[in-house]
Amino acid sequence: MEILQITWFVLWSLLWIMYFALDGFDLGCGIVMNFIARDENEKRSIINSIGPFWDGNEVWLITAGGATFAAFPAAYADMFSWLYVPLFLVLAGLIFRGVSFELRGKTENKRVWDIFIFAGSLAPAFLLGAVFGNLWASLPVGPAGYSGGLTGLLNVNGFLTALVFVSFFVMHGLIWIALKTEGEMDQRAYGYSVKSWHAAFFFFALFLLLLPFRQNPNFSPAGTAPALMAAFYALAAASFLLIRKKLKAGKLPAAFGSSLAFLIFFFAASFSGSYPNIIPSSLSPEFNVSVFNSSSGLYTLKIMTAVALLFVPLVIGYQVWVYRALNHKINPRKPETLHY
Amino acid sequence: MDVLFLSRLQFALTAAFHFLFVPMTLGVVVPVAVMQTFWYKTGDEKWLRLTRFFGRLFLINFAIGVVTGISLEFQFGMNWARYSRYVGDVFGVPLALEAAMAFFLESTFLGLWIFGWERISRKAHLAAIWLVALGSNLSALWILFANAFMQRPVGYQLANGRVELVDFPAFMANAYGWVKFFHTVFSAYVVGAFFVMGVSAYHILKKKDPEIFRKSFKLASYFGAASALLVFVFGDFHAKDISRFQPAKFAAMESVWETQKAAAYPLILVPDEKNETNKLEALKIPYLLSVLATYDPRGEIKGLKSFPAEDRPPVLLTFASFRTMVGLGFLFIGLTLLSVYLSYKDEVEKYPLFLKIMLCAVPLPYLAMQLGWIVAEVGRQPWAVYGLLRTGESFSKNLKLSQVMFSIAGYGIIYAALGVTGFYLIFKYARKGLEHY
Repeated sequence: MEILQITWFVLWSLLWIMYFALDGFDLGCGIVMNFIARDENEKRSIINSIGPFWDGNEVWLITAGGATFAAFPAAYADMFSWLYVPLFLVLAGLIFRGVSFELRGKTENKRVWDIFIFAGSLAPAFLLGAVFGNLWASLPVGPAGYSGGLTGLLNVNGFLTALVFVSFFVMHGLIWIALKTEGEMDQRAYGYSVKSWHAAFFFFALFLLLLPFRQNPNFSPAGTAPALMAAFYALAAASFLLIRKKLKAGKLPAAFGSSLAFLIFFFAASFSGSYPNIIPSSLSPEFNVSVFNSSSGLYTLKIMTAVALLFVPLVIGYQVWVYRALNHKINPRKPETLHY
Repeated sequence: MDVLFLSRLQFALTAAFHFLFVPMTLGVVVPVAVMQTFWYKTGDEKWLRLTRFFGRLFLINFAIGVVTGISLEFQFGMNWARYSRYVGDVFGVPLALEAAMAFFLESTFLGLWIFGWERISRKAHLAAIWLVALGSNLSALWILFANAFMQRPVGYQLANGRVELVDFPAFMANAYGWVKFFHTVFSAYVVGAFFVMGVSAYHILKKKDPEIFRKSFKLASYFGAASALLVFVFGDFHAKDISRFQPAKFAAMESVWETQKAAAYPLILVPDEKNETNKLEALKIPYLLSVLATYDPRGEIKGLKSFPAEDRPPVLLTFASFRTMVGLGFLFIGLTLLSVYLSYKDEVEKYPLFLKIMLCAVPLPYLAMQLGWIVAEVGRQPWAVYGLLRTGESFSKNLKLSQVMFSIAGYGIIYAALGVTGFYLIFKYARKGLEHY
């Protein structure tokens, strides 16, 4: 039983990691679009560059939600009801953004959609940062649960992690735009991506420096999880340096690959740092919501493991295939090639 | 107003709104895929133009369906935490399977379909739209099996203060789930068929590319007639399952108060919920109700009075929704069969009045599906999980009234704007016709 619960902590983390690493770049594109693009065709090119992929990326979030429900029902119930307002705002952002991508090209007034795309991309990135910043440290969970609401998440740690998310996704998105477009805008995006790397560096360094001071009563120097966390952070740091190296060398596919690897390692480190808890309590360990006290029964976990082992590789396989089938560059100077 | 009431209202509104777009996703993708297949096989450009035209309408609809679906999955945990905790071990499994098997397939290959027209081979591009169709139908399968567990729980045991899955094959063998799946999916096909017929009828009436829209009208009429008949067949199975497993719901659907054998079916009936009787029962068809419920003309039907008042669903709403839905179902069979006949004889254009009726009929299958869900979910009350967990024991205890008011106001504003924009765009592009395709 215990081994399956641990397996599901890994799989649960993996689903969130996949979500952040993939949706990260299209959230980043949504945040920077209005600032990078100088005209309608350039905006359209950015939207086209993520057009075929953003929805498939977002399904990783839905899958993470569904898997939390199935594998850790109590954690799902607690997390989603305690974080009611922040999660509603995440949903509102994702709704606005999603319809904007699809309907913007079919209406006259683009300005409103542009605002929705910006706000609808920034809000989920920022708020999920604030949520996970606190989950990776701890929340004041008492006998009646957590009742701090949205403002309770916006402490130093939550705020910093929110900025970490936003800066990482912005960098990730800029590299994507530089990689996937051509005709002047790619040069601009490239220039900004180097700058955004420095911003991301600042927040990443601050995040690591403050790590020992984060209120995490569960982080003990014993066991394998802290060692894993350190190893993943080291890999994240190495990938992060590699991004800059590849950017400087003008090797954009490698830079984007490094950025993907960086996000995967960063999130892997953060999730392993919170093991075995999904919602750690800062008040008392007895209120921790962990994989051991919130999971489904043995039978359900077995079925879910089979489902994950079968479908996660299959999905990654065909998603990779689709990314490759649509690996062309988009040129805002050739408006007749753009999709609306 | 309390948290329970507002949470119920919010779920009803968000689910009903989402389900304005789901049936068309399910029901239009199939004709679109068939049109593209005809183009692929024959090389006839007419089919390509129809594919692109109806494909665009499908995409506008799909965008709203997708974004309004996420909030439903999150809402179980947000507003119904005690429910989630109680059933997650079972209920979470089909939800996770839906995401893993269906949503990925649907979204990934739809992206490929939209952007892949000139990028991938025609064969691969055709496969993409069929995979989208497969994905959306699989999605319906899993979510309806999740719902079927709420209606008729199977494959579980009670342990640790919750339901735990012990037999997945039994869970999947839930007849309630299969019948509900086919009944719902074929109903969605009727929605799609009426949409395609209505839009085609409009253009035939306007004499804009009538020779092309005759093809889509014909295709949709066959699709619609077959689906409407299957809706009826599975609806009949469904009613029999309900009378077996949810007798109180069945009694409310037909407003039966007294337990009776060899029950007649009053074509006209007015329930009187307050006095636990019917004000009017007229034009009775002998034995029919017993046959509908049990196959047996002498079969017994339990009356509402045999259930304690706190175990009965609201009668009037359930009954009126059910009657109207059934009536509409027969209307759809009639209209689609007539469409098939006229299409077969190639005489559709000779009957402009009929085309106008088909245009005006587009909203009716939507209405029927909404009514069907009212029967299913209002009729399930007072239970969240039939016989096991009451709705009143399901909501999140920690929520403050202000939080739910905030979210319901937010959903209200967002969805109103989405609905107006979405339907405006569908109208706009539906009226434009084929000139840009």
